[in-house]
Amino acid sequence: MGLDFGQFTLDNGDRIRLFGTPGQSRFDFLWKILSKNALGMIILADNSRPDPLGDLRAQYLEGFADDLDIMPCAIGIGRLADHRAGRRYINELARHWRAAVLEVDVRKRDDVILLIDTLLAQLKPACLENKPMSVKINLAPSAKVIATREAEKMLSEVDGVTAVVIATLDGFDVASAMRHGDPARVAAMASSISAISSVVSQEAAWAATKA
Amino acid sequence: MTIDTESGFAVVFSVHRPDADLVINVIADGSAILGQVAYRTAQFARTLAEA
Repeated sequence: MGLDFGQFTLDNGDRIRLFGTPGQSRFDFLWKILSKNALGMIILADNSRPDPLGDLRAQYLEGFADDLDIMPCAIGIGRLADHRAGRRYINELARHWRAAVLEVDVRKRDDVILLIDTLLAQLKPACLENKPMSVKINLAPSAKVIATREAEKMLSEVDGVTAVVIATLDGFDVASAMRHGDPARVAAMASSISAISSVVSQEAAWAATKA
Repeated sequence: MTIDTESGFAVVFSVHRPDADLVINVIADGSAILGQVAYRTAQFARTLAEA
């Protein structure tokens, strides 16, 4: 349980960042944060649950209804072999939503790759229509030079510091100094943590007002 | 914001500029002194905001 993050690079050099969010409904505040500016979505369903179709419909597909109107989706159904549901998923989903549905075992690398490929195949036409694949960062060039210089200075002068990454609010690195690691990953994770902290602050302020 | 990590801590500090809002992320191991890292990060943020 918790927030997962992964990143891979396509053959054309584009980087894809994958964010995983817990599926329990008490974490639904995270869903809105992570789906903001997302290019697509993969939903994993557990067919061994008492009402897997109900879970999928009520919790995820309705929870993400606004997002699914504007972004492609691939749905992976796990444990189908042990609890055959047949075409119920496909028929139900085809009635209400446009999403590719695959039987997957998430322990198998090939199944996971197929799921991601299925999403990416839907993604390309949508990206060409609506969203640029590259992000334009408007930071002044002089500021970027200063940021890089100060990051390197901090890394060399402050004992124990292993990485300094300056990033945009939506998680793209603009300058960095690191002993090891990938600044893009640090930037992406930090932006998610900042967004979650912002929500926690808002919730705490609301609770204080209510009290 | 300060976050405990497995091998130390991370400090996250926002920077408001006219052209872009940024975040400074500093990762430190167990030998770092939290107060020193936080102070230097705040100093860095001021420099970057005024640059």
